[in-house]
Amino acid sequence: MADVGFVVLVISFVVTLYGILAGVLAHHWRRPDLVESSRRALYVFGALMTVAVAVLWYLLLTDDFTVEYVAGHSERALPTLYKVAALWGGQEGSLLFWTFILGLYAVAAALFLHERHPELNAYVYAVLHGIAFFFLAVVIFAANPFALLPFRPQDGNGLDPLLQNYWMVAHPVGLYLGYIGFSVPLAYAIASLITGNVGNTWLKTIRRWTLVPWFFLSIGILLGSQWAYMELGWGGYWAWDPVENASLLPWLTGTAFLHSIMIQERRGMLKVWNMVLIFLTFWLTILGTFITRSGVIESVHAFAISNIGPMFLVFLAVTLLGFLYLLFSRYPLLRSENELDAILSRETTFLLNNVIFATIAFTTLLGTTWPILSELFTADKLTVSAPFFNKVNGPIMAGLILLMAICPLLPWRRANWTVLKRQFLWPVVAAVLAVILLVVLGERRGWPILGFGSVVMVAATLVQEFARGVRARMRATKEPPWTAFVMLFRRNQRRYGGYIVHLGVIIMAVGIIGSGFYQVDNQAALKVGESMTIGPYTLRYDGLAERRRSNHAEVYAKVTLLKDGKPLALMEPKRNIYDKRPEQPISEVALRFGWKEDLYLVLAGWEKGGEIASFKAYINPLMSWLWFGGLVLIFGALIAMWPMPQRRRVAVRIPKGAVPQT
Amino acid sequence: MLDALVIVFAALVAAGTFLFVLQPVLTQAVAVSDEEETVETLEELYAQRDALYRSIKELEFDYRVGKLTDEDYQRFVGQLKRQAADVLRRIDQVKEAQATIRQRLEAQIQALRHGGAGSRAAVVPETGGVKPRFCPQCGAPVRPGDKFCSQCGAPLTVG
Repeated sequence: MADVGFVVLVISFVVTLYGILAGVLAHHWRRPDLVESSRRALYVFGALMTVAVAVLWYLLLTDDFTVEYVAGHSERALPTLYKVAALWGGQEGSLLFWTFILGLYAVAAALFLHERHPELNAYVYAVLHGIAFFFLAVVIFAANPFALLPFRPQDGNGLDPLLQNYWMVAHPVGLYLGYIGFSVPLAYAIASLITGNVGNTWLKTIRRWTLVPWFFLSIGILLGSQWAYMELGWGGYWAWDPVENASLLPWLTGTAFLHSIMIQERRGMLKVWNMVLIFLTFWLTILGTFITRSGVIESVHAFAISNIGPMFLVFLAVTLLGFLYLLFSRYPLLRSENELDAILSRETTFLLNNVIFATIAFTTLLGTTWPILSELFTADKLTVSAPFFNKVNGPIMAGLILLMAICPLLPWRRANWTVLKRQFLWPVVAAVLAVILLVVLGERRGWPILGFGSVVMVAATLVQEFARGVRARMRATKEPPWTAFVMLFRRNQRRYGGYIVHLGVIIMAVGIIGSGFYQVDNQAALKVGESMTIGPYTLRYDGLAERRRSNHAEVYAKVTLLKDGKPLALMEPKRNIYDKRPEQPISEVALRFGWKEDLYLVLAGWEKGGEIASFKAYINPLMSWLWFGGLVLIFGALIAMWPMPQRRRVAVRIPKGAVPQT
Repeated sequence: MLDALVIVFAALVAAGTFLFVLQPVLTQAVAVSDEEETVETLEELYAQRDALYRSIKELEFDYRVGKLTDEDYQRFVGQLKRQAADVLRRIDQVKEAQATIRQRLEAQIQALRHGGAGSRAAVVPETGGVKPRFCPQCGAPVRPGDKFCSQCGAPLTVG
């Protein structure tokens, strides 16, 4: 059965190679039949990858340990859900999974987009085949999931314990649906550059499309931080480690792109920015996966141990150089159609938005690759960790929040003083009141004050936008307020969906500021019956016990939470010890969450069979706002991208020679 | 034995793929004609028109919620409407050119259907551009492809 999987990979490899040639020739020889052939090759690629993935799942679910990958990442006692997730639990399987999702997106593009921009299809298909060809090459030659062992082990090694929880089932799926989806906008960008059709038509198609991977990437990142919070047990959710940064980088450029595109659509400006942003978004997904998989951050030399590293490096270099060449040779086509009418305008804030996102991305990339760079150019390897990122990115992100408040208040093209006064009055007043309130409550630190102040200003801006929008609709159409509110979304889907996304962002910002600046922690080693305090709470250790699960032992502490002497809850922080990997115990945090704060308890260790246990406790104020804000963000994205029935446009003929009234 | 099955499976999949992917090439297709080029330009123009309509709509909305002064609104909306009129004009031009090409092709097809020595079919201009033609009998203008004058009914000859 494993051979079937491998055979299918090889056939796909040949098919995608053909697809590249067919696409390229189709354009230069002007042959629609070759375009159609290349398109069909994408369908075949998608179908064959589905077969390959189905085969690997079959091997995992039937415990076929003759296959090296199955033996390395599964075991008989593994719960079925994790056997399914084991498909993306290891290097080879996850690369196969990546290629499979690329197949899905490619088929979707070939199915739904082929009639939109026929002049671009040939090269769009060629580029998609090119990316597929690369990944198939990596899988076949450097990371074959169907490799066989010369013997049949009795049982497998089991899945990495860190991956055996619900978040880790969903998080890679979300990330991959995010990363890989950006291949399609990239294909369109490259096709438009190569063919010279750099008009603004394909942008509208691509903007709607790009929302989908952006949506999934956001979910993936949120799930990853939630996992870190619940499983890693250090009280936080984001440590700026290379793997986390790898997922954030394309999100930053992707978000910038989604905004910047609005300017090109309306005013034909920022064309070069948009090309660069699409390319970077795609390129950073490849860089991110290269960093995560190759171990290159730990040491420059580690990456050559497997063949994957060099292959990715070559791909990154070739695509970067190719893109730069295309960009420079097509530069005259990318000239702006308009100029900025005024410095104080919404267009300027969008430009500033691009710059800020680019800066955050740049600092993050620099900090992440600093160990490699310093090792290459100096004798020492210097690491850069959370404090650097927090100190640099924190203020820049605060600036971004302020921009989120200012941008919607400015009109397109030009703002003048009367308009500014009317627009900014209430948001500024609200912000100032918030700052005063904070100072009165005792806060003296600059950053929380700036942070909360900006958040309040954005909130006020959003309320004002919605209120004025509803009022304007009611005046024009005499609708009742609730209908007007709903119709705002139907008629201005992107704008108001986007506002909900911004609302989600500021709710998350509240969570970030609260847990970041007001966290309280404590630790203690307690004998049975002893207590520790944290904030207004008391935690009493009542004893240690053990439960048996299918493939691990669950050691849990019984802890009673008290406030003012009254018991509130029983908390059970755990340590899971997996049979196959006893040296890698995983802690399971006991969490009591609420709107005001999270109480977070970790079982750090125990002695004498549980007579003494050591704990680490945290109070994370407003932490739940982060997750709730994430949900709001997701909801807003859904609103923005939901296909809604459009009103049919009625064309109005203007007689020749007529001049419209101005 | 398993290997043999795998080989058979591989051969079947490869053959099926081969046929499916190459079918459009093996059954010939038409090359890109002039018409397709104007279709591309038309798509681009429609997209420009739609983008301008959207901008006008947005400007109106911003004005209604009070982000623009009367003066700025009038100026900007005027600019946009002028640009939109321009685009609509160009769309009309392209459509006319398309119609002309279609008429020409029609006429060529007609000529091929009824062509042959001695027939009294209308001649179709081989080169581009439509030259106005007149009935030799009554002088009324005739459309290209007409075999009889629509005014006096005289048959139209080659030439």
